[in-house]
This record gives sequence, C-alpha cells and structure tokens, in this order.
Amino acid sequence: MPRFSIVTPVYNPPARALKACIKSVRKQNFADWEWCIVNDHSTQPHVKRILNRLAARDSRVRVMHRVTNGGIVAASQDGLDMATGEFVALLDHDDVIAKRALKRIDEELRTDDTIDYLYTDEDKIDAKGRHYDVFRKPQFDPARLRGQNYCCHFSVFRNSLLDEIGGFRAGFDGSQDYDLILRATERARKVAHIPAILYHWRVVPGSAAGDVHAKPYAYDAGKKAVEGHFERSKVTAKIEKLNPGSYQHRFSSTSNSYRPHVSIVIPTRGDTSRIWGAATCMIENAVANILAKTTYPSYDIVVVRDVNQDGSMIHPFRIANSERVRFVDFFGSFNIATKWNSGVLASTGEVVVVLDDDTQVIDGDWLEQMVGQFEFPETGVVGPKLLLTDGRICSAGFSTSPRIRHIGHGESGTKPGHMGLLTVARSATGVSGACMAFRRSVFDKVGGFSDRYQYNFADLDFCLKVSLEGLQTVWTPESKMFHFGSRTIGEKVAATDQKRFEHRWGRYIGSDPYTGRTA
Amino acid sequence: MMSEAHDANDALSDLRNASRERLLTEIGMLRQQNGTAELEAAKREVLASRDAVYGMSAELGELRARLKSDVKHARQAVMQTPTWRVGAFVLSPLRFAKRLLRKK
Repeated sequence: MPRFSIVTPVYNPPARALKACIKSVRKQNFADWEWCIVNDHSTQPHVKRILNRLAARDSRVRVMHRVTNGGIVAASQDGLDMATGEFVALLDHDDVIAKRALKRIDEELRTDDTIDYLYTDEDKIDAKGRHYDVFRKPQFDPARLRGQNYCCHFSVFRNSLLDEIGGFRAGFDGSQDYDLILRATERARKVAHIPAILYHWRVVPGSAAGDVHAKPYAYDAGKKAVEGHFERSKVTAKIEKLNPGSYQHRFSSTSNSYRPHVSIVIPTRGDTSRIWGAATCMIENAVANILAKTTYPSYDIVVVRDVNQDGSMIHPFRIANSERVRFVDFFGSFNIATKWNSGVLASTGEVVVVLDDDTQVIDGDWLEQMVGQFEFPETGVVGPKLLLTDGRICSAGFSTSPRIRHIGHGESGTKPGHMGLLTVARSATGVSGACMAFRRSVFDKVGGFSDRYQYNFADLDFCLKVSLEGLQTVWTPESKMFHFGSRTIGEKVAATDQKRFEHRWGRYIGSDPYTGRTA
Repeated sequence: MMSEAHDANDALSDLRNASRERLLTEIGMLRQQNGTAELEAAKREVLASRDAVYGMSAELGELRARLKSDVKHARQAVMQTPTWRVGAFVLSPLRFAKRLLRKK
C-alpha cells in the first residue's frame, strides 16, 4: 500500500498546464506514491496522448479513461475508488505542487498518528508562471470553515476516513471538495495545518482561481454544503451567499432553540462625551439603545457604577426605570477587571456580555448573533464587529502578530479584507473587552478577569486562559456595534500591564495562529 | 458639621425609641447583608485563586518557551565559533565515510 494516492480528475486542460502538473508530481523528492488519474472523456486529443504516455513511462501512474463525461464529482469519485494509498491527496489537472510537498506532508503525518486530515498554504500562478496571492492560512478553524473553504488546496485525507464518510457526493459540483472537507473535519480525530506553500493554484481563463464569478453554480453548491454542515451539527441558522466563495450564517431567536438568559454587564463612571456632535452621557446612551433595539427575548443589564464612599455617584446619570436594569456600586480605585468581575458576580445570566459604556448597538439582533455561536460546543468567547463612528473598523478581534493589535483597525467596514478575513465568522486569539460574550461556566472555571491588569490586556488574558481549556474565541461580523473609542482611560497602553501580560503570554507575541503573516 | 452631628443624634434617638420587633428586623437585615458580603468576598477569592492557577500555568509555559529559545540561540552561537567550524571541517571526511558505509 503506497503512502499517498494522488487523485486527479482531468478534463481538457491546456497541454502546457497538464505537462507542468505531471512534471511537479514526478519530481517529488518522495517516492512512495501512486497517481490515480481519471480522464473525464476529454474532447481534446492531446489529453489522452499525454496521459497514456505518462502511464507507460511510470508504473505508479494509473489512468482511467471514462467513456462518458460524468462531471467533476463522478470523475473525482472514480479517482477515489482507484486509490489504494494510506492517504489521499487531491490535485487539480492544471495545478502544480512543490517538489518537497509529499515529503513535508509525510514528515508531518509521522508526528501524530491521529491526523486524519491535513491542509497546506497555497498561492496562485499566472499564465507566465509568476506566483502571487500568497495565502498563509490559519491553524484549523472550524468557525471560518463554516464561512469559506479556506483549507482548499493542498488537501490530504486519511483514506479510511473517506471510506467512512462515503467520498464525494453528487449534486455538489464545483464545491465537492468543500463538502468533502466539511464532512471529513466533522469526523476527523485531528486536523493539521502545514504553514508552507506546497500548492500552486493555476489561473487559467474560466477557472475559479482567476475569476470568482466563473462558476456561479459552484457557490450554490457551496451554500448547500454549509447548510448540510449546520444540519449535521444540529444548529439552526439561515445560510446566505455573501460573495463568491463566502457564506454568512445568521441566527434567529424565533427559530433557534438555544436561548439562554443573557446578562449584559456595563461598567461606567457616568462620563459625558461628544458623540456625533452632541454631548452625550455614554451610559445613558448605551442602555437606552440596548433597551430600544435588542430583540433577544431574555436579558438583563447590570450597570456597575462608580460611587463615592458615601454612596453618591461620581458622575450622576439617570436611566429610565426598567425591570431589566440593575445597579451594582463600585467603590475601589479604577480597575477594569475588578469592575467586570463585580458585575458578572452580581448577574444571573447563563451567558454574560461585558460591554463598554461608549458603545452603541447597531442591529436589533446583535445578541442573537453572538449567543448563537455558543451552539457550537468548541466556542468559549464571542466578540462582534466593532465600528468607529465613520463606519471604519475599530476591531475585528485581536492579533498578536507582529505585535498586539486590533485586526482591521481603520480599514473600511465594507471591504472583505485579505482572503475574506473581515466578512466571515472566524476564530481569533482574542476579542476586545469593549464587547465580549462568554458562558458563565467558562468565566467561573478560568477565574474570571485577572485584576493584575488595571487598564489593558485583561480581555486578551481572559481569552488566552479560555484557550487553555481547548475553547475558541470567535469573532463574528454578523453582530455589529459602534465603539466610540477609549474615551474614559485614553488609548495609551499601561507599561505595567504590558509587562505583566508578557510575563504570562510573551511567547504569543510575534506569531498569531489565526492571522498568519498576511492579515 | 452641625448638620451631620444633628443627623447622628436623630438616628440615635430614633433607635432608642424603636420597637423590639423593628430592631430585630433591622438586625436580621444587617446579618443578611454581612452574609451576602462574606459570600461575595469568598466568590472573589475563589476567582482570584483560579486566576492565579491559570496564571502560573501560563507563566510556566512562558518559561519553557524562553528556555527552549535560549538553548536554540546558545547552540547556534556555539556552531558559529571558529573552533566548531574547524572541528567540523577536520571531521568532514569521517562523516562522508560514515554516510558511505550506511548506504552499503
């Protein structure tokens, strides 16, 4: 049994591209492979000629000529049926793999016997062989995979897993690999990522690599694949095509069965600031907006207000009477983590949202979108898309590469970002404490927010503690909120907080598992 | 000051004239409040202890990562010394012979 079976469905590729593909496989510095090529009744005569010559020259190559054109799914499935290797690698007929690809993958697979699916980084090559559009992918991120097939090329599956899930499925033409990856990752014991560009995706006229609108049917199939994934995960959400290759999922409090009580904790001093030209008491504005817009049925608000020793408020404010709003008095010197902890301890929700007072809800279903992410058991913390007053992005999660920063800060709120980073829900190293949701059980388990930090990093520290529990922090663009900035404490990072953070998590600074080097 | 002293005297006389039932109720409320405060303090302590455990585990990970990085740098520094390079050059025929023997 060979280590790898490379499966390639072939249909009328340009001779030059097919030859380049063949050359890249035969030049591998790893010999233990077989190549299962399925000629899907190509009409151009050079295809059969080239493939027959190749099979005659190399005993590891097996070619099947189909008598009818069955399409990409049928041809790929025929290739899978031919495969006898321990692992199956999918290669398109006009693409190229790096010389060290199979060797590097073999080395990775040897590190852990439980790896059932593996993917690598990739780039594109144009007609002149120039490389561009390098895609340095994140470590395995199931949240992002629900929104786009970011794993794509080079995908390597354990053959026994493919047998278990039944291989390719008819009706998913153009997104058959996306459907296969979704089903494989649901069952895989372990998914690995090799952060090296081992696959070069060729851009030829009419290919999906060059023109995202070239195969519109593929995006309908992709939507169907995502819908299938949600169905198998027993999570109700409405799937929509966002832009070619990306899909959004929206939760609804009317259709979703998971509707835990949510407590929104808002620490405040009662400060007033100018918002859109008018002097506004931020806590009054934030609470009024939540009460007016939020459609989520079961929630309460806990306002943690700074008070003097005699119990009077430092900056008095007035919030209209509502049975949803409660107050907790905070006497100590400023420490954001202590204030958050006080609010959470006084709250009752199964899910808790900590929210800055200098925020404003945009859409009524902001809570549904955040709470819905907890239907996936691997989710520990959820954060929304935070926008500046002019509509640009304030934060799309934290990255620790090359330094601690807000992803997308200052970028247009309507642009998709590098490889759709800003359009789909995905994992992040952390999300801003300006708005962050978590399960109470997780909060209790990790010891809440660390009061070692006075101003900064308590939020990121919390997310990293949660990650030690094997849970992920998910950022979702489906929940949007204005964040008017750090008006109360200034944007400068406190040196002591920075030092304390580095003492705990210094090894994370400089590399980020979710944004790579390109975001 | 005058006003505060006046208020305190008022409160004292109010308490002196209060019925037994009212005093018992107030004592009960105060006890409950203190109990809640104690519970709150205990909860905070539990949180702080758990945070400390996670923090120590993170710090241990940090120390391990630093040690690994230091060892790597020290090794690289040694391999760049003239002594190491000369030694490697002198032993290169031996390495070549070893490789040949292994192939056979």
